[in-house]
Amino acid sequence: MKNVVVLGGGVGGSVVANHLAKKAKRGDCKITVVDEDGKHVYQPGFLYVTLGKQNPAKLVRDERTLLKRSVDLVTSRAERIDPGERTVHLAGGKKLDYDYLVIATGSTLHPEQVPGFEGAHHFYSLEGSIDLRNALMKFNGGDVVIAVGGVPYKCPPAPAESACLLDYYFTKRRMREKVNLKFLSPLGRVFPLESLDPLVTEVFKQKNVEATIFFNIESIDPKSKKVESLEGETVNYDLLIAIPPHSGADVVIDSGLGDRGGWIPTDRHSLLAKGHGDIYAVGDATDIPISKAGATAHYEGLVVGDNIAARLNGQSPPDNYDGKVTCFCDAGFHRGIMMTFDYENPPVPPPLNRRHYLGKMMINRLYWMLIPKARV
Amino acid sequence: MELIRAVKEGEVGEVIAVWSKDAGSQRDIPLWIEKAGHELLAVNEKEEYNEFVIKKLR
Repeated sequence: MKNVVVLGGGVGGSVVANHLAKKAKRGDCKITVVDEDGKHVYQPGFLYVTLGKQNPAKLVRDERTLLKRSVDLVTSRAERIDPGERTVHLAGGKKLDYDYLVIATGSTLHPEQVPGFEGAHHFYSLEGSIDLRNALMKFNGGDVVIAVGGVPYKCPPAPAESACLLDYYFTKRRMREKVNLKFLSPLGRVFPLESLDPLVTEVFKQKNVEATIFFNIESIDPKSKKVESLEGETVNYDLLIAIPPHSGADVVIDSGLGDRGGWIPTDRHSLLAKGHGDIYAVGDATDIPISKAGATAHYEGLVVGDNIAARLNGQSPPDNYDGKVTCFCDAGFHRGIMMTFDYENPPVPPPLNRRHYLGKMMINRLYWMLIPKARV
Repeated sequence: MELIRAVKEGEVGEVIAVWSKDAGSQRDIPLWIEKAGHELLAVNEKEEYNEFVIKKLR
């Protein structure tokens, strides 16, 4: 019996493990998921926590309840991978041998890499989102600035989505006229996906969100409430929402498997770590220059599950990842957009409508039942 | 995005090459290099993409 070890119990790791458990013949493999705290967090809910519309406790479930019974869960920290020995070293000295390894260890946040980051809020962790919610509740007016502290970062449309939802939030609190919303984009356009940029630029104009392009945070001065960019500009703020810099996971970096940012050089179709025939990478952990998002990890996880199942059966890997990503964005006032795209086909500018907003709400509700369990 | 990441992670004086084929980047890369105060050493046109060679100056 072959050992398949999956590092990380987020979207990608759960989908790989559950999909493979369904596809592989009984007795072909033993699947073990290693996760540091055994908790699965639904991160798209963070934005709604900041607005006071989401109970934070409902965004967290035990990973055990999401995995098939045939999948083992080890709650431990993976400290080092030894590709030569095909072994993963866990905290406390335990070891796991593998025939196939899947690295789904996601992104790690590094607010400490931006001097003065303690002067900012963010919505990229549950705790950060609760803090931002509390700061917004106390906020009486002034400049709210949304900026990015490093690229790449998870869910590239999220900062723009946050600007739209804050317009809605302050309007509902009857204080929109007291708030200047300023959006500092790290790129040469407002929205990361180029074909959608004209639409989002128009939405920002309608919502009176002031946008600046090419602004990547270099440092923050919490005393004078100023944020400075790599490009040499300074912007004042009263409340700063800053996306923390991201890197790959420590276990990837400590094992020498990452690039300078800790992202794993990965073949964009097979999803094999380059130079390794038995190590796959999915989700944020890869260096593939597409959205670091749950949908990416989900679709990649299905491909890796299929391919490992085939290889266990002595067949060639049947599936190639085509870069598919699906993304719902909430533009506030119960309107949204949905985008689907892949390596070859950029997203077509969609209509901004209520149906896509409802689609996002539906995914938020059905996520636990469908996606980690690899039912779709 | 990949260029900004590479420049931020690189050392001052380091030369970085970025391959790009999307239309937006052809326009954005020289604009960003100018705004961020780095030097565009060359743009090499290849069959399927353009290669931008950049020197990190600060």
